[in-house]
Amino acid sequence: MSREEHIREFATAALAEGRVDYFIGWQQGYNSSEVIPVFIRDAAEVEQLVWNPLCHHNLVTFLKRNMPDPPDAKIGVCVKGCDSRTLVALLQEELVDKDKLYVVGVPCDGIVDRRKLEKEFAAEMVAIEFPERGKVVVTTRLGETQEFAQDAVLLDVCRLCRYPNPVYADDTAGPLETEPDRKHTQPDWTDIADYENFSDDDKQAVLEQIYSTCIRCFACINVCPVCYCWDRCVNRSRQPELVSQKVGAKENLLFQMIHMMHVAGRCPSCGACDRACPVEIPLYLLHRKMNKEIYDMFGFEPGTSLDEKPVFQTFRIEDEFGD
Amino acid sequence: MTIKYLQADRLPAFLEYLAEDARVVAPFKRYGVVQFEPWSSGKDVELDVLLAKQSPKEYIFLQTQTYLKFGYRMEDPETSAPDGPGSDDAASEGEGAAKKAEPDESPTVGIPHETVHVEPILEAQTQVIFGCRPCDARGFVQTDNVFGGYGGFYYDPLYNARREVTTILAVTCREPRSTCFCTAIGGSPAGTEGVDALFTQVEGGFVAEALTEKGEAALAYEGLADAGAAQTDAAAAVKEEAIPKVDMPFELEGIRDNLHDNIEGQQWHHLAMRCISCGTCTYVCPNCYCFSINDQIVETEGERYRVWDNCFNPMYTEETSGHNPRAQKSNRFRNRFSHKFWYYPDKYDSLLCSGCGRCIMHCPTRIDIREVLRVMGSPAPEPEPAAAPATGEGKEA
Repeated sequence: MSREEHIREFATAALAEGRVDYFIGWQQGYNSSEVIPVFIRDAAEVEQLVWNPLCHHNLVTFLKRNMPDPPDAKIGVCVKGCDSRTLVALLQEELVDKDKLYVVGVPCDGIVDRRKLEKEFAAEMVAIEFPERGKVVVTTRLGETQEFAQDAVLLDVCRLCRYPNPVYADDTAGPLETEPDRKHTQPDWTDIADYENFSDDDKQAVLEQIYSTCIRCFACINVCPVCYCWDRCVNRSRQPELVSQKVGAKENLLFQMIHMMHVAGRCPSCGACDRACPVEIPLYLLHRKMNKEIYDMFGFEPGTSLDEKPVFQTFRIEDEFGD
Repeated sequence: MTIKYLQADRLPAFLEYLAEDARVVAPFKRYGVVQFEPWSSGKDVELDVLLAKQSPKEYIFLQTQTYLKFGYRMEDPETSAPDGPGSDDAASEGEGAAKKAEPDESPTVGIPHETVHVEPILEAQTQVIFGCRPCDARGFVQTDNVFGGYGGFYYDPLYNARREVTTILAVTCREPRSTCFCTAIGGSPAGTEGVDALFTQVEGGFVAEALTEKGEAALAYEGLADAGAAQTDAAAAVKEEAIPKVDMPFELEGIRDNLHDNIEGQQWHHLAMRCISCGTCTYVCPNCYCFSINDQIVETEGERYRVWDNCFNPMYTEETSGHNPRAQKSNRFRNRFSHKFWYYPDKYDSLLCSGCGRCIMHCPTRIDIREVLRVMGSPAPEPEPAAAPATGEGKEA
C-alpha cells in the first residue's frame, strides 16, 4: 500500500468514527504542478488526498492560535519529519491540545523545489509527475517535457535533513525512511558555510541586500507554524510603533531579525517561510544560522522530544555562553 | 494613430531616449526573480517571463510614502524674536516652516508656547513604465476611481501627481498563462485600456501603436521606423492568436448579486481554511490600494507616512476599543473578493480586478480567485435549511 493510500485510510477511519471534525492533508492544486493544503470534512472526499514530493506545506500552521475554524475543532493532520518537529515545539509549550489532535506521520524522502524547476523554463509549468521513485517529469504549457532526478531538484533543507521520519505521530503512513545515525553524527551546516565566512561588514551588507526586496506581506510570519502570535505581531504594532512600518532594507532586516529571535529554539528550519515568500527571499538562511548557534552552544535540536522545553525556556548552570 | 516598428536590438537605444527626460521603469530579472525596477544603461529588460512578481503599482502608489514632515518647538516671545529659533532646532528646515507657525502668535502674546510646523511633501518624477502588461495598465484605470474623486469622493493628490506624469507602454501577452483570466472580466491580452502605447512582439522587433498623446510623444523617437503592412498584419495575428489562449473560468454576469446573496454562506469558511491571512495577494495585485498612516517621531521632529496595508491583516479592522469586526480569517477572506466584485463596483462603477492571476500564482497556498468566484459568485443554494443539518452534525453550538 502506498503512503497516499495509508493517508486516505487513516483519514477515512478518523472521519467516519467522528474522532476528528476535519482532516488536513495535501491535494492537487489548479494543475498537477501544484499541491495545496486540503481540509476534508467528509469521508467521501478522501480521494482528494495526495502524497508526492510536492507536498511541501507544513500543515501544523493550521493548528496554531486562531487558525482552526471552528476554534475548538478536533483536527486530524498529516506531518512530515520537519513538520512534526514544529508540532512538538508547539506541544512542548502546551499551545496545542494533544487530545483534540490526530496526527498521521508521513515519512518523507525529500520535497522537490518547485521554484528551482520553474526557473528551468520560460513557459509556465502545467504538470509535474512522478512516474517512479526518484524521477520528476515536468511539462510546460507549450508542451515541452523534461525529466529530472529528484535528488538534483530537492529543496536545500531536504538535502541536509536528519529527520525524514516524524518524531511524533499517532499513526504512520507506511514504512519508515532510513535515518542518519544522529547519535554519532553531527548536523551538516555546509549550506551556511559561505555566509559564515563573510566578515561582519559583509554579513550586514548581504543581509540588507537580500531583505531589501521584502514587501512585508507577512507570509513568512503567518505561515510559520511556531510563530503563534502571528495575528498580534510586534512587527505590526503601530501604537506604539515598535518596529518601523516603512518598507526599506534596514527596516526589513530588523523585522526579520525579530522573527528569527522569537522563534529561536522552536524553529527547526522547516523552510515554510522560505517557500511562502512571494519574492523568494532565502529566509531560512538566518534560521539555519540560529539553529547552528543553538546546537553549538547547547547541543539542542528544536522540537525533537516531548520531554524537552524550548532551549530559551530552560536554564542550566553548566550551559556555555557565546561570545 | 501612429504605428511604428522598433527593431529588437534598438530597444536599449529607445529606452535611452525615453530616459533623457524621465525615469524609465521596466521588468528585470534578479536572482531569477522578475520585478519592475528603474532602468539604467546596460540592464536587459525581461519580457520572456510573462508577469513580474508584482505589478508596477508601486511606482504610482508607493508602498512607503512620506507626505508630511512636522516638528514641535517652544517659543518664548519674551526672550526671543517671534521668528527666531527658540532653541538650536534645525534652522535648515527652511523659512516655509517658520512662516506657518506665525498665526499662533496673537492669542498667546507673552506666554511661552509650543508651535507645530508642518511641511507637506509632494514629489512626482516624470516616468515611463515600459514592459507592463495590458492587465497592469487596466489596473491603474480601475484604481483611478477611488483615488481620483469619482462620484464626489476623495481626490488623492499623492496618487494623481504620479499618475499624471507617468506614461505606460504595455506589451501584448503572446503566451498567456493558465492563471490568466483577463478576458473573463472584459480585458484582453492586447487590451488598450490605460495604455499609452501598445507594443506587440513580432519577428525581429515590436510593432508599437500610440493610443494617447503621451504615447505619441514616446513614439516620436527617431530610431523608430514606420511599420509596414506586413508588420502590422503580423502584430494583428499575434493579438488574434493570444486571445483564445486565455481561459474563461467563470461567468462575470450575476457575480455581484450572488456575492451579496451569499454573504453568510458557510462556503466562505471552507474556502478560507487554507488561507494563512497574509497579504501576498494584495501586494502583488495591480488593484489593491489599502494603506495605513503612521507617524514616526524622534524627539521633536517627525514625519507622517503612508504604507500599504491589507484586509487580511488581522489588525487592519481592529478598533481602538479592541473590538474587531473582522476577527475571523473567513471574514477577512470574504472581504477581499466582495470588495473587488461587489462593493467597489457598487460605489465606483468599475471592477477592482484586471485578471492578471498574480494572486493565484503567488499565494503561499494557491488560493484561487477563480474558484472563489465560481463558488460564491453562483446563485445561493435554495434549500439552505435542508442542507444545514447535514454539514452541521451538531458540531457547533
